[in-house]
Amino acid sequence: MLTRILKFLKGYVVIRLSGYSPERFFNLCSRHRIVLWGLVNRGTEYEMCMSIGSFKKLRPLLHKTRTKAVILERHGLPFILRRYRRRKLFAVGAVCSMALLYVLSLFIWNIHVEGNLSLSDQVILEYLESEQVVHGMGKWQVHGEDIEAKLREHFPEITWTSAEVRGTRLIIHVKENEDASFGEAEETGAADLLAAADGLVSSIIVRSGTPAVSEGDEVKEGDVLVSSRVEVTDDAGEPVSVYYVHADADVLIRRTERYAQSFSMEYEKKTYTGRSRTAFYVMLGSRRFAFSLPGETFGTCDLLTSELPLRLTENFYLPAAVGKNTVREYEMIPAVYTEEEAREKAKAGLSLFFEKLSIKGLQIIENNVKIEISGGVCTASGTYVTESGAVKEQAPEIDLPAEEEAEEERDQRN
Amino acid sequence: MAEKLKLPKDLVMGAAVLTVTGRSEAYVENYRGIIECTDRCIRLQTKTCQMTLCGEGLHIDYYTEDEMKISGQIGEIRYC
Repeated sequence: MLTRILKFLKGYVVIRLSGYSPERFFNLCSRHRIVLWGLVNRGTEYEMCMSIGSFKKLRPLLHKTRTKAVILERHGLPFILRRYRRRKLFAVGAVCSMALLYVLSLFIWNIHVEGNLSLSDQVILEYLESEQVVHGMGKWQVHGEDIEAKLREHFPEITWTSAEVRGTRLIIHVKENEDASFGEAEETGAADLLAAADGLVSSIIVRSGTPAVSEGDEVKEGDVLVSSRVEVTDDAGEPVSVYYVHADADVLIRRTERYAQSFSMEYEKKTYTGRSRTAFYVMLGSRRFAFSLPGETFGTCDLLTSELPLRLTENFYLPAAVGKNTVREYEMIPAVYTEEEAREKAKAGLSLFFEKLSIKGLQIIENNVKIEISGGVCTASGTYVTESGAVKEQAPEIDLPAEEEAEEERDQRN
Repeated sequence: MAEKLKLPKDLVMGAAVLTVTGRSEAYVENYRGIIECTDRCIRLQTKTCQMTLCGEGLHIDYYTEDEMKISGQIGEIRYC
């Protein structure tokens, strides 16, 4: 490979040798340290390759051996340069493009954010923009440590950052705090756990505090589930001291609730007439240039807009966009649900409702909702059982001196 | 004597060194020159004798003062 590059840079010719004594010519070449390669015999003639420098020294040898050399092919950089020697502007252009490439490579053309899960790229990029970290900034203006410190300061959920300039890309590596409880109030001070809703305690696992209820108990909203008061008793079961903790427990409260939804079997169905019109537009900055053909106006219609923002790189958007507006006319036609359709619709409504509940953290244990159709009305009604960790915290009524005493006593004992 | 002094024989005796790889490549060192060169026969002059390589489609990949490489279908190698 290296020899091929060297041959290309120095340039070489393919010559055809004919005449009286070619073998003597080869031997003379080797005496004069002329390197030959690709030597092939073609009847009485020989073809071979040699460098340009060697070819220039050939004349006396050819004369001595009474042979004749004809150049068949020219290869290499010197010949290419010679061929384009009159094209000065081409050379200027090539140099300019190199210079331009170099100058452009001094700027950041793509900012890429990696490792973000809860924070969107957009949020981080917007913050960076407010800190003058933007597309098109010079590489010399990028101070990685500054960016890292500012990001960590501004987004408390980011635990680690690294700003890396690779080529013309600025890559922001981010590690977020994966602990789900992040952002909750710090657990300081004593607190009771109270029921946030009525129901039946289906499971209780206490980590700290004294349980006030047990599995199977009925509770009302506001009842204490786990008390923050912890008593230390002696052998006789008498309380010796009392101290307060931050109650912590997993309590599941089961409750039964009613669900009722109904809708009429008659409705207005949206039917597209099949007439539609498409118009294109171009956004430049905040100005909008629309291109549309004149046509009839529609009564009721849907407007569907799809816009494609123009961008240079992944996150480098230009202040321009092209878009398409499609208008489709429709009419509202009275219709009646079939029994199957009505059941499907009621089921869809119910599952959407359950989905919303499960997003809130409720678990559906039982579902007794029935769907009935009668008198032109579809009704979904019944009960369902949910289970949830519906608890809230509240500061307990603490007998402060008692706690202090208790602490003192503990100190003394220690 | 060369053996006693542990000197390489090609250097002392001026013997040609022929390295053949399979039957398609041959490297020759320590030769004087080419006497004949066709695609069927390449005859070289060494210090003591002539070396002939016969075969088909023979050609010289490169040719310098010290070394040459011959490729093609080598049929026989003869010294005379």
